[in-house]
Amino acid sequence: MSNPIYGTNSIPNYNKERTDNSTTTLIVSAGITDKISVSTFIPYRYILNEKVLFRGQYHNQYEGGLYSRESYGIGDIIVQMNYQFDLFNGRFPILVGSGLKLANGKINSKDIYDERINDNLQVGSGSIDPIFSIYTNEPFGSFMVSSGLFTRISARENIYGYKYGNELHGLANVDFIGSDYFFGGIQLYYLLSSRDTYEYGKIARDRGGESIFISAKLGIKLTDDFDLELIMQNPIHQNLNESQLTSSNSIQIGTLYRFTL
Amino acid sequence: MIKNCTIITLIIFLSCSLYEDTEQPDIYFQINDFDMLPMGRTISDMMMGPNNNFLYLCDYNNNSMIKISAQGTMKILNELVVGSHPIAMDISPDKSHIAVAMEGESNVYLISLEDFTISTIISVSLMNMNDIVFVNSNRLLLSSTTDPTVITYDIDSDTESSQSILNGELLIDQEDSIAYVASSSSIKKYHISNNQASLSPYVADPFGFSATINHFIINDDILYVCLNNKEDSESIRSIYSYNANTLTFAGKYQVGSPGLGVVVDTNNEKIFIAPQDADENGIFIIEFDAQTKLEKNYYLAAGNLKEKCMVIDQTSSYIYILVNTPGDNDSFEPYNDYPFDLQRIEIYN
Repeated sequence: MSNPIYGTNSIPNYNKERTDNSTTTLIVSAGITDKISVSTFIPYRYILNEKVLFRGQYHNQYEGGLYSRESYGIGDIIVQMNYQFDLFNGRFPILVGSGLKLANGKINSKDIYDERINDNLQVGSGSIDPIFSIYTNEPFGSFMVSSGLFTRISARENIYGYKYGNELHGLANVDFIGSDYFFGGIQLYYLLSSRDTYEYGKIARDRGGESIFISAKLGIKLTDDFDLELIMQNPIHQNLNESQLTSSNSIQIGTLYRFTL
Repeated sequence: MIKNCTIITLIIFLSCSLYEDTEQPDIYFQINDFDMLPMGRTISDMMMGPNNNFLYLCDYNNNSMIKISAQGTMKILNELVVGSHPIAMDISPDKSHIAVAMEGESNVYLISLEDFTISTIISVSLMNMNDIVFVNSNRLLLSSTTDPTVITYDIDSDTESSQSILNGELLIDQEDSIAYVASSSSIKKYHISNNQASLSPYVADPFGFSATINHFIINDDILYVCLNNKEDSESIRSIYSYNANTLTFAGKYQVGSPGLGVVVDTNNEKIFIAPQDADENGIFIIEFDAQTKLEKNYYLAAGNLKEKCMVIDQTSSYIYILVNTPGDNDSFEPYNDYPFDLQRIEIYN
């Protein structure tokens, strides 16, 4: 992320700040019955933030210059149980999920001066939060139409007094599934988040807002059980609180391996 | 089925309030784009021309003077090569000339404002000059960092006189023929109506440390001085002002940093201070209310600032600052010495 936005407008990145955010997620999903399944998301995150400080902006580096912060490790694990409702005579099955985002991710990464870096740059959030999701899909000939909502409600502040804002994720997909060798599609992704707060409820600047992204997806079926996919995501609308770093595009690479126990 | 759908829809609708920000942060400022003139120069002094149309800058590293159009889109109109390292300048009371003092040679250049050409080169005895002011249209006051005392130079008679004035940053009250000198230890006041200056009984309290004078101005009988203690830059967190008559304190402006520049609007209502240190969110020009002496507005600068870095136009519509973006310092250009660009900021009314 290196493109700052103020509200809906691009603004100069005068600190030349850039954040590289890499996440590798292992998703394990298992069906317990025909209607009940359990999913676990285990992310490994690497976050690198770099900027050029002005004189006096950081007391440990008074004259300014390049300042880097990084954190890495296993992020907060999500454990979720899903139940499938058949409300429309077998069409549009609705998968309702509920679970917890654990607080296992590290929140005490430090910079080279041995000072703890910002909460937003830590791999974990430091709080156990409930999550809810709802998802449905339906094939139409060679296409699969799907949509879903996912929310994370911040239950409490972490040990340092920082509390993340609530997040609502919505997505709608249209995928081509008519080939034995490849698949692809487009996705509309909506993200709404509220501000974070510091200890005693002090409102955080530069957090929260509304974004809409569009993604193009292309995948290859390497074997019957193994898929490889590439997703290119671009923002089409962003209205953010105060100034925030955004990314003009992002790339996701995913693999899916299906196995039966 | 309809009942279930209704319940799910209702839950989603009601939960939307979880994502609305009903409160705003305590401190709120907006960031807009910067109005910049890229120059990449190391500037030692800057002044606004008499009719508000042009800015004049001393380009220290390129031994030249720069004339910039301040109306509409800022652009460099002219560049004039002068002597070795121009360090300070002043515009004559009759608005006909700029006198430019050189740090690297013992000459003063008089430049015609009409056609921006060198009209006269004056040889003086001083070396390492640091400041120059017009006492009147024919008489100059010159200071140096190495010579023991200030000199006056009479342009008509081509005569130089050594004065009993310690070196420092100079200011002139032309109406009353009074010179103010901010030195490393205090501010002093001299009567200069006669050929030989005399020290006024009023002397500002000693600073208490050896100070570097970053900027020194007079406005409406108030002196403003931006100081820095190079031994301990955290010891000075304010800009001080003095009554010109008595040299007693007139105000203290807390900016949390040594000041690099100060300007006052034409109505004497707003004081703008350029700090040396950045805030966590960036570097801001701080506007103080002259009456309450409290902070009123903040203007985001595009980079690190510089001493004597700021001017205001005569209509108090814009301030102009020199900014250095730290990210540009990693240049492979040889002898790249923190080049500065010009930023124009519209004053909030």
